[in-house]
Amino acid sequence: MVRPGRSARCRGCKGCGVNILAIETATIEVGVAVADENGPVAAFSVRARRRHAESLHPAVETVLSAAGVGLADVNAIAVDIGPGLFTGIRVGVAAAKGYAMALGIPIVALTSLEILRAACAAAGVGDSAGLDRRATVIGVVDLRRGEVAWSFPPGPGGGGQPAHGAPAELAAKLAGYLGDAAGPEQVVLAGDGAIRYRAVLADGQDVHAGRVTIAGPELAAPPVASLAVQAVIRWAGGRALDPAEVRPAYLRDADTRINWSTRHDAPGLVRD
Amino acid sequence: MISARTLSPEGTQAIGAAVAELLAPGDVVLLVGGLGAGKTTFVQGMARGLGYSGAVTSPTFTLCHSYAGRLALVHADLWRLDTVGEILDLALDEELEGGAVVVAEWGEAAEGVLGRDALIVHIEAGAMPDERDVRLEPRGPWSARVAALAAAVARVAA
Repeated sequence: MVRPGRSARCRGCKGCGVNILAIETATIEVGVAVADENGPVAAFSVRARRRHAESLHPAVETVLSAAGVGLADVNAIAVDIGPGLFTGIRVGVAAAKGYAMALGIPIVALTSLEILRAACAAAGVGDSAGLDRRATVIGVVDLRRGEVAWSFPPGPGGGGQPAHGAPAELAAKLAGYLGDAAGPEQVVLAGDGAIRYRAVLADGQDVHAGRVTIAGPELAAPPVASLAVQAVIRWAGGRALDPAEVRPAYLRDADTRINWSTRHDAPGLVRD
Repeated sequence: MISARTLSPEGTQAIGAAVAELLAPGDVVLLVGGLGAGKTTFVQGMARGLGYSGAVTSPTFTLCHSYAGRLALVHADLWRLDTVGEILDLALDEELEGGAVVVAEWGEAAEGVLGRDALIVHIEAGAMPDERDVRLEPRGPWSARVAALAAAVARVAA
C-alpha cells in the first residue's frame, strides 16, 4: 500500500524511514550492512579472504535479502573512504559510486578512523567527535610496510585530519597528547595498526603506563554496522554527498605522475 | 655496488638465478634497463632459481604475473603506467606482506614507492652484441647480504 505523500520508492513497510546500504572494504574486512533509523537491520562481514572485489557484491545481495530491502528502497550508500589498503578502498569507493549513480541516490562518506571512533562510542567509550575528556579514541589503521594512519580529535593542537607515518612517530605524538594538561585521562587505540604495533604504542610507554589501551580484535577493522548507523545520522543531517564529490582518502599522493625520463627518452619509441 | 658482465642471455639468467638463492619473503627487486637489455631474461633466471619451471614472459600488457616456486614471485612491468596510483593499485605492498617477492621491470618508476628497501639491478648493453653489464645496488635489508650476493654472482659471471 502506498500512501499519498510518499515517494514512489517507499513500499510503506516501515513508516517513512530511511534505508542505508553500507560498504566497508578499506582494511582487512569486507563488510556490508543495512541500517534504518532504528539501527542495524542486517550485516555481514568476512576477513578470511583477501579478494575484496569478489566478496563484495554477493555480500550486498545477501544482506539486502536478509534485510528485506530492495535496491530501489535504498536512500543512500555509505562507504569507508579510508585510509587503509589502497586496493580495498578503490574497490569500495568504486562500488559505492556505481550503486549511487545507478540508483540516483547520494553517498555518505566516512573515514575508517571515524568509524572506529564511532564503534567505541557505541559501547560508551569516548564519543564520536572525540571530545570526551575521560577517554579519547584514536583509530590506528595499518597501511603496511611499516606505516600506520591515525587521526587525533580536533583540538587546540590541530588534529581532526588523518595523518600517517611510522608507529614510533605516533607513539611520540601520543606522549605529547597525554602529557598535555588539556589531554584526556585515557586513550583507546582501535584498529589493526594499534594491534600490530601494540608494543610500540602502548606497552613501551613508561611515562603514561596504564593510560593507553588497545581495543580488541573485534575492532581490528571498522565495523560496517557502525558505518551504517553513523551514515543514517549524517543522512538525516543533510550530510550526504553527490557521488561525484566522493574522494578516497588514500593519504599517499596517488595522482603524482611517474618521472619517466628513461621511458620517454628511449629513441624511436611511441607509446600506444 | 656489485658488478658483473655476461656474454649471453643464459649468462643474464644465471645472474638472476644467483640472486634468487638469496631471496627472502617480502624482498623487492627493481630492474632498470632499456628495451632489449634483458630484464625479462633476468626474471626468467630468478624464477628458475626459485624452482619455478613454467613459462616466464614479460607482463607488459597484463602488468603482473605470479610464479609459484620456493617463494611466490610476483613479476610486474611498470612500462605502461603513468601515475604512482597505478603502481599502488597493483597491491604489491600486500603481496609483499603475504610473503611474496616482487620483481619489477622498469623499476625506476617505483623508486618512490618500493625503492627504499629494494635491490636495484641495472642492466646495460656492453661492447659486444650479447654482452651486458649488470650492476646490483643493495639497499635496506639487502645491505646485510652484500657479501653473499657478491659471492653468488661471482660464481656465475663471465
